Amino acid sequence: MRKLALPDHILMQVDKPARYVGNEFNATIKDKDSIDIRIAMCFPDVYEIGMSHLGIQILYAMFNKREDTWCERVYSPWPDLHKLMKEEKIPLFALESQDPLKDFDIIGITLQYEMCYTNILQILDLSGLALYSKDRGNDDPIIIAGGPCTYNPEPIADFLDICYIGEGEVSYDALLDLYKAHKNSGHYNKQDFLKEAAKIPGIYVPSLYTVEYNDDGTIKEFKSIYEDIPSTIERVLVTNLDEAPYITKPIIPFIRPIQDRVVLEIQRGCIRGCRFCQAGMIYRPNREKSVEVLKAQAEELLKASGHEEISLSSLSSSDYHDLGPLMDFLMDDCLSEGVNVSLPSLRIDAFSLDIMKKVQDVRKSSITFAPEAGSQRMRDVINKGLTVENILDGSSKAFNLGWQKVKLYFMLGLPLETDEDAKAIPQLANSVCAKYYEIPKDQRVGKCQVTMSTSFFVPKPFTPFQWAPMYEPGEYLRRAKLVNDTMKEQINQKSMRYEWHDADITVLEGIFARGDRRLAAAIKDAYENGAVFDAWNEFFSMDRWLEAFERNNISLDFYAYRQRDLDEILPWDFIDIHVSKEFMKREWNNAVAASVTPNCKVRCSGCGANCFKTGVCVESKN
Amino acid sequence: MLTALRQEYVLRARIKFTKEGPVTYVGHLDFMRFFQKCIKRTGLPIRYSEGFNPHQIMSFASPLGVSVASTGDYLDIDLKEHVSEAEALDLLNANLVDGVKAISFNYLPDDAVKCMTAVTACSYIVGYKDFSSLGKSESEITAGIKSFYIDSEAINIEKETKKSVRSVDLKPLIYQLSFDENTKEYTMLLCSGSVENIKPELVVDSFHKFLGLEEANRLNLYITRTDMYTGEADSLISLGDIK
Repeated sequence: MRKLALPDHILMQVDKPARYVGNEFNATIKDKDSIDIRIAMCFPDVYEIGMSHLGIQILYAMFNKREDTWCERVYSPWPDLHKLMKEEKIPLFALESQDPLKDFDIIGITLQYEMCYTNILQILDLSGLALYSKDRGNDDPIIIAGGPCTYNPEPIADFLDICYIGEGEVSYDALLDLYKAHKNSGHYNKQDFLKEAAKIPGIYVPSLYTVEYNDDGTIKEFKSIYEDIPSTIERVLVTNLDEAPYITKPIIPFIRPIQDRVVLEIQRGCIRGCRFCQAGMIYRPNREKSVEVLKAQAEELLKASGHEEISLSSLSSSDYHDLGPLMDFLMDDCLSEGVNVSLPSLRIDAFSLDIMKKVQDVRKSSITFAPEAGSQRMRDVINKGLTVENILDGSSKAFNLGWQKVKLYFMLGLPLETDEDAKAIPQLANSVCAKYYEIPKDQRVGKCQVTMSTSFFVPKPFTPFQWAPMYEPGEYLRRAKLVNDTMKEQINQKSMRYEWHDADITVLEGIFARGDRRLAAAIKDAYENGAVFDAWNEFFSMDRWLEAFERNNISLDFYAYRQRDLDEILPWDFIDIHVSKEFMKREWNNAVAASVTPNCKVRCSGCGANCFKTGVCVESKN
Repeated sequence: MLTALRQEYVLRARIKFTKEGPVTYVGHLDFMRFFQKCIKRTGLPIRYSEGFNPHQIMSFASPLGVSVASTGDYLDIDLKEHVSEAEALDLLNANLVDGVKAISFNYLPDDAVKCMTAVTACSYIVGYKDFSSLGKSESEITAGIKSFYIDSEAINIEKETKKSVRSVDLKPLIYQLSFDENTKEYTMLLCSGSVENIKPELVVDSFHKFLGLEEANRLNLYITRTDMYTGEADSLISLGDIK
């Protein structure tokens, strides 16, 4: 029997001890003595969330395909265990071997949201590693981060040895081959390895670049310290998804993960070009998998997992070119007894509703729309490309098919948003309710329930809104109150409900999203004063962060509330995602003019991503 | 009509399995989900319930507490078609994890009661991780068991439930209790099921109290369920022997 890193008396004291014992079905066990490279893949949040992440499972399968590499997993220990590990000086370990992380060659961390930044420090700290890259030596693991947050890695750059900019399937083989050559040379030197690594496409080594600032705090110059490493990091991406590595044997956790189902990625990128959406920009161009490949993957994954649900994953499933045939296959040929299919990210039209009626119990389930903004003007500003007719027709069809619960997702506090735009949110919800009450009374059962949910908008790098100012927390809450008050004036208010998010976390997220290297000291300070699991309301303290900012001379005005100049050097400008800054500026101007830009299938808008010569950029336009 | 439906041919199979090592930290609900996915992967023709959210027809004899191991637990499943016992066993073991092993798979007679309802007793082995911390010698424990259990008329204790505290006489509910001086382990056969359910920790606690010792520290005990039984106290049959 495997030995566990945590003794029984600790496992008996902590919540959900199965988070820490590994041993899941399909987890990869190798003989560590016949391995050159040991990698620990980390999702810096609790096990149930981390285990639901598709990207790590793809990389795990890809790394373990290499005979010279053993990739294991690690997640953030919950605060109850964190405390016990500190008290009893137990180092953080990987799930499969239960060996300390300090013994690994590489720790790979995926960064999906900014609020996990203190959890990165927790992982390093509990592993017994120095927090700053410069303080770690040749015997310490190389710390690599990837994922959407690394499109502006600067706030956490000082903690990391390498940032991987782009899609993981592309450059890791080259990086691992290089690491192995350096390690087996007999005179491994971290700095020498990093300097060579920096020449691999998509690999950013923060310590090899310096930043100078202007008197006003903006960036004066960002440059590499060696001539022979690139001054710009180019995003790497998969050009043929059908041939890209995918999961064949998903790990099946004992504890129920957030995604307790097969996740089938049907496409990457999105044709829509919503101006607030970072994913819609950094994954350009839209690339689809073929139906044939998806059919084979669906069958294999259902068989290998024993899951009773399969979910299609993409930014906008309705835009997948062959959704009808794929769904027919899944429902008619593939799904054995007891297996369901779920379909998030659908646009609500007749076709989608027809599919959803087949796969859901309409009486119990709710249907979700994301109009994102209440007024037509605002939807045009954000380029949502959805008309009020689309929304009301979709609602009407959903109600006629038997749904009674509708969820509407909006953003509040968008750039250029007026009070009238905020009030339009409950007005739209009221019109949706009205569609329900148009059904003759004898054909409907009771009331409908329309839930509006608003999240406060956070401007993200590499979007046309990257220059926009944020509002102070009080202003977000004023807008939420405006929505709430206006809801109460609506005829159908008794059928409506409203939920909104925390405003403090929004501002903090915005600071990290667009921050620079000077934030690192404040993040370390906050961690050392107890900040961890900041994405969890029960652990988040705004005061702790405000104190850390104050001690480290971080100005909220500078990072959150000011309007950035279109010509300012932004902290992430050294990354070339191959969607041009000119395009972003053009789209910002279109936003100001409330002018809609057509989607990539209708017309190319010349964003620059066609240089990859793949996906929607090379497919014929109808 | 209803009778006709009920008499529909049902193939019920019983699986005997172990649960040891790290998996003992997996709680019962999660362990049930684990087995559902295991059965799905095997492709065994399990029956599903009717309705919009059909679920596998599967029932476990009795949950195991966290950190309690087992070398003889049971679950029943209903199948739609006959699969050979050997093939089913191979399929199961190919889809389980380290520490969970299917020991036997056999079909039940038509009149067999579901394991969950059938179970009336469970046997356990309980030992101390650190015996010396008790401050008693092996022979003192053996002598203690004699006066606590073998020679006693009644073992009256206060049993705490979630709602109340009530007096219970353990004597008739403990079918066997002995101590092995070599392994320093207790062997117990205890009443189990829906009417009275006696946990091995309760027996150890009561014995400690009898000896004038502190309540047993749960962290110092290791517990393994070794088998589960049905029938009356004087004629118990292992759930695995119902064929």
